[in-house]
Amino acid sequence: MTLTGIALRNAYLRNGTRSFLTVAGTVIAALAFIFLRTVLSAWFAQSEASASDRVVTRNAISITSPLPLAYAEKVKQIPGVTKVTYSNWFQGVYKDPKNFFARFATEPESALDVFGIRFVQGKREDFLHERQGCIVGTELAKKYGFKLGDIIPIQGDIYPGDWAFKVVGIIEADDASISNTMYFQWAYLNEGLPDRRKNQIGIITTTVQNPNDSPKVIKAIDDLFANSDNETHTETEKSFRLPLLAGSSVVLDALLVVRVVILAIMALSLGNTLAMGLRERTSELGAMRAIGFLPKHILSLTISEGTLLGLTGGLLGTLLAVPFLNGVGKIMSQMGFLSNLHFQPVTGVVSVLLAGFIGFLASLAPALAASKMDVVTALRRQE
Amino acid sequence: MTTNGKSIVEIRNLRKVYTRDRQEVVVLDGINLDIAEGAFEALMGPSGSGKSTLLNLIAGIDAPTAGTLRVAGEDVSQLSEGQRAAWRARHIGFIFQFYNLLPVLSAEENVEMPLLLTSLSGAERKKRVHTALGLVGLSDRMDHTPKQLSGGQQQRVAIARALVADPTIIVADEPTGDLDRKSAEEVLQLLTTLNKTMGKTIVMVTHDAHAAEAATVQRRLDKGVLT
Repeated sequence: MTLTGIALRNAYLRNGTRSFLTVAGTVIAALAFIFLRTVLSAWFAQSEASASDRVVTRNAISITSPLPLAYAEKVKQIPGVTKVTYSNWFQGVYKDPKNFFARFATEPESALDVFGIRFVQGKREDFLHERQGCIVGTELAKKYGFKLGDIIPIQGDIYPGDWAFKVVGIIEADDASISNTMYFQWAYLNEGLPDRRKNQIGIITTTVQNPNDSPKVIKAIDDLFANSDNETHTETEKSFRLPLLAGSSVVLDALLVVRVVILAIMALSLGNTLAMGLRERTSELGAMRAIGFLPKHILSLTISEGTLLGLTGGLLGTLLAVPFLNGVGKIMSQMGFLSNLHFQPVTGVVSVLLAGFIGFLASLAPALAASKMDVVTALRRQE
Repeated sequence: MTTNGKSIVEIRNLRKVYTRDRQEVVVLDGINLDIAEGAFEALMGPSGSGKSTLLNLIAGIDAPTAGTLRVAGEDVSQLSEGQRAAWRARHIGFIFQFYNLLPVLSAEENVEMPLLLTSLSGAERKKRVHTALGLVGLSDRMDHTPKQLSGGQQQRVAIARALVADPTIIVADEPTGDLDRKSAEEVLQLLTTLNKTMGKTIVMVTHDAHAAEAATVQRRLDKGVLT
């Protein structure tokens, strides 16, 4: 028998119901922590995939307000700009609203260059010349079984009507998000719109010659359209994608705060359980001290209990996180969001260690109090 | 057992004062006491008389306010908290009124507790534990947890725990206070046997006159003074 063995039994056997509830609480907290951390990582990873030499221009009022087509040509003239393309977020419904994926109307030639799109199947020329042609990412093709020559019917919502697109290419790019994206000719969209909506574009994506010059180019673009009917807001593609993905950067901040709150709740719950447990066995600890055990023995015994409970909760939470995240990841992927959401072993290891550390921290205060307790006072306190 | 006349406890002018709500309360005043090696003494007195405080001082879990206190050849009043803990582990065996066994440990493991503070090997510890449990008649209950034992059996486990490290003195605070008459008799019989056959010095606090009769010497405390 060792002190660690006693700590183990105290942690798990002394009060089974309490230990179970404490560990269950820690499991849920660990699971929530891992989930949030994974979601946030996936979120940031998606924005990190953005090219550093690309900047995005949108209407300063909001992403939903369009810009005149002529702006794209004007941006091209700005020093330091090498390539310019433009696109409109098309949205629409493919058979069922749950079949969600990104669909963009874009200027084909410049888009292929700006986004560095490579053809896995089909030819570049087909996309450039086929008016109704569309290209789909490899993941999208795999998921919906799209093949060259297939017709993809889309029910328009932002752009009402029944639209049909012929698959002329299966594509990939360094930017992983493109594997879940569909592009088609902007001109085809423009033709099908009423006059009042023609020649309007959603965003302009610009490649700059030197990424270090991005701030200058961003300023030059926005200065060019300052005081016009459609003022612009330009930013790097990376910062553009974050709020676009999050809906609002406030959501991201809130998630980060929630993550810390979860850890705090875990610590308080563990601390409370340990403090209650120690209060109930004050006289036992007093007896141990009387027998000759030192404050350091009581301290290590109690801290071990808290750390063990934390580690157990963290470990079980991590084990549960694997199927949970894989399941959620699958659902998210089907919805077209965060396709890279999956359990990462490093997150699991961090969570287990963090849960153990929180158990350690949570047990510090009650453990110190127990170790410093006067022996006579402790012995007098009898249930 | 007859004593050899050598004092194992020597107390001179012992005073213990507690401060409660800024009021000084004199619990023990001018105590002079010698306890011979091998004695079985009972400290009696009404509640608040100071008998438990005196026992705590002898056991080294409390420090006197004034006076000298030599126990087992050591001036306990001069020892630091850490030194007293080590001294207690070597010289004192404790028996408490409510046993204070760890409910998550078996009888065998509870008895082994004091030996965890020694450098004995696992095998040696086991041997000693089995001997101690044999002495209290619980060899067949070694794997039982306190919940699976009666009050009397739990107290016998506690006695085995007090014995196992072969202490110089066994201090017992109301060892029969939580037991029925039959169990109390068994415990007192056991203490008597330990005193008579093993020569263990026992200091027992009790307010039960019948229990005190088991001791060879009875002393009375009243309002902090030995009468």
